Amino acid sequence: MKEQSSFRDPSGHVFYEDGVVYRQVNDCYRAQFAALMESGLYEKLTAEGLLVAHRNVEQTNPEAAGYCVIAPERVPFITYPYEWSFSQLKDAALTTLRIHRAALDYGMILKDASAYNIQFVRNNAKLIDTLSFEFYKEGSAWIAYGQFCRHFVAPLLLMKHVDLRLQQLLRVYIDGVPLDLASKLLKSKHDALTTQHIHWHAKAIARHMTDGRSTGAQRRVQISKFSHIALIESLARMIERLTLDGVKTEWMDYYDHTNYTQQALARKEDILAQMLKAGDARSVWDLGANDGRFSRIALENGAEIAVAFDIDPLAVEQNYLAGKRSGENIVPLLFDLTNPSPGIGFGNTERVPAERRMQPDCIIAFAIIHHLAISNNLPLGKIAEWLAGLSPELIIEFVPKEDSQVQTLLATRDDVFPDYTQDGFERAFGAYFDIAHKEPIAGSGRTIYRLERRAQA
Amino acid sequence: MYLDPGFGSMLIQGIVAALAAGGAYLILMRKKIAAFFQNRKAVKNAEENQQNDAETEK
Repeated sequence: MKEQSSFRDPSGHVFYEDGVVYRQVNDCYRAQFAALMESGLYEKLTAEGLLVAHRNVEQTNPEAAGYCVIAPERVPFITYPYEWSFSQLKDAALTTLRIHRAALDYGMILKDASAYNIQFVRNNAKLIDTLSFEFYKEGSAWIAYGQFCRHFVAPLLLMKHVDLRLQQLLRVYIDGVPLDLASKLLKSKHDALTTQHIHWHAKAIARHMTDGRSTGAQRRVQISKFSHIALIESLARMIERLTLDGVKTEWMDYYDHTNYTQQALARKEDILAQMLKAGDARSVWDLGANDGRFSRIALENGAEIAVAFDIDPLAVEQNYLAGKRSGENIVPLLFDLTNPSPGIGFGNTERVPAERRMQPDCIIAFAIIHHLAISNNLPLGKIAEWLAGLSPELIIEFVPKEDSQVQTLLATRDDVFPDYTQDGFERAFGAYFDIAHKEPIAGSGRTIYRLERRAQA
Repeated sequence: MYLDPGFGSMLIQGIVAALAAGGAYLILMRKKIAAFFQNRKAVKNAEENQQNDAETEK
C-alpha cells in the first residue's frame, strides 16, 4: 500500500507491506542515490544519528520506474511539526541545516527542507527521507531556502516573539507559514534573523511573485560555495541562540500546585505500576501527560513506547528535554484532546489523526476526566465511547465533584453535570469496559480504575 | 528539482549569503590576527626563556 503523503518527489515513494515500511528508489534517482551511498555521506550522517539507516531489500517488485527498494529503520510514532514543542522544532531545524552543511562537503545538497521529513527517534531529530539529496552545482543557491524559512524560521520566531500558540499556523499551512503573514505578525521585531530571513525575504517574494508571466527563461542567482556555507552556518548560529526565556504557560509548574500530598502522589504511582504489570501493555498513550511522569512509570513497567499527549507547550517542552537527555522511548506530543490533529493536506490524507498512526495497547488518563467532562461539557458516555474506540485497556482516574480541582472548575459556572458522579462514571464506562481493578487513592477522594474493553464494545 | 525555489527567495538568499560571507570573512581575519599575535607572544616567551636559561647557566 502506497503512503498517501509520498507523491511530490519523483525520485521515489514510500509503501507498506505486511506492516513493514519500504522506500522505492526510482531510476531517475539512481546516480544521486549511488553518490549518497558511495561518497561516505550516508555513513557520516547515520553515524551521527542525523539520518535514518536503511537496509537494501532484494525483492519486492518495484514498479516500472523502480531502481531499487530499501527498508528504512522504523520510526515508532510519526509526529507532525504542529505537535512539537519549541525545542523540537528548533532541533529539527538544526538537524536540517547540519545535514545540508555536511552534504556540501560531499558535493551534495538537501534538495528540500520540509519539517515533515524530520522525525524523532528516542527524542533525536533525524531525517527520514533518504531521497532528499541532490548533486551540488558550483555557484548554485540552496533551492530549499524558502521552504526552510516557512517550515522552521517563521514558526520559531513567531513562537518566541509573539505567542507560542502561533505554531498552530503549521496545521493550517501544510507547506509552512507564508512569509508575508509571518512578516506582518513580527513587524515590531528587527533582529538579524527576523529582518533578513522574514521581512526582506517576504518583500522579495512579493516583488517577484509575477515574474513567471513576464520573464521567459528561468533566472539564476549565483552564490559562491564560501557564501553558501556562510549562510547555512550563520542561520544555524542564529537558530541555536533562540530560546524561550521568560515565556510562561498555565500548566508549566503543575506538579508544584496539585492538591494532593507527596504520599498520595507516590500511592498513585504505585497503583499505576501495579496495574501496568497486570495488563502487560507494550505501547501506551498517556493523555494529559504533563511532563511525562506517568509515561516514564509505564516505560519502567514493561511498556516499550509511551506517547505523552499534553495541551501545554511548555509541559511538552520539559518532557522533550528530559527525554532527550535520557534517550527514553517517550514521544512528547502537543495535543488538544478536545480538538485533536485532523487529517490534513490533499484528500485529508497527507497527515493523519493520531489513531491512524498507532493503536495503543493501553491508555493512561489521569487527572483529565474532569477537564473533558466539566471544562468541555463532554458527557461521560461520549468520553467512554471515544476511549473504547482507541484502546483495549484503560487506566483512568476518576476525580469526584468534591475534589478542590473540580470545585475550582465549577466555581465560575452553573453545575449542569448531575451525572458526574462515581456511579455515573461506572455506568458510562461499564457500557464498553469491564472493571478489572479499582483502587481508591488514599487521602485524595479519587479512584483509579483499570478497565478492559469488552469484545462486543 | 521538484520544488519551486521562487525567484524572490533565491534573490534574497544571494543578498543574505553575501552578508553572512562578509561576517564569516571578518571572523576568519580576526582569528588570523589573533593567531599572529599569539605566535609572536609564544616566540617572544621562548626567547625570554632561552635568555633566562643562559643567564642561570652563567
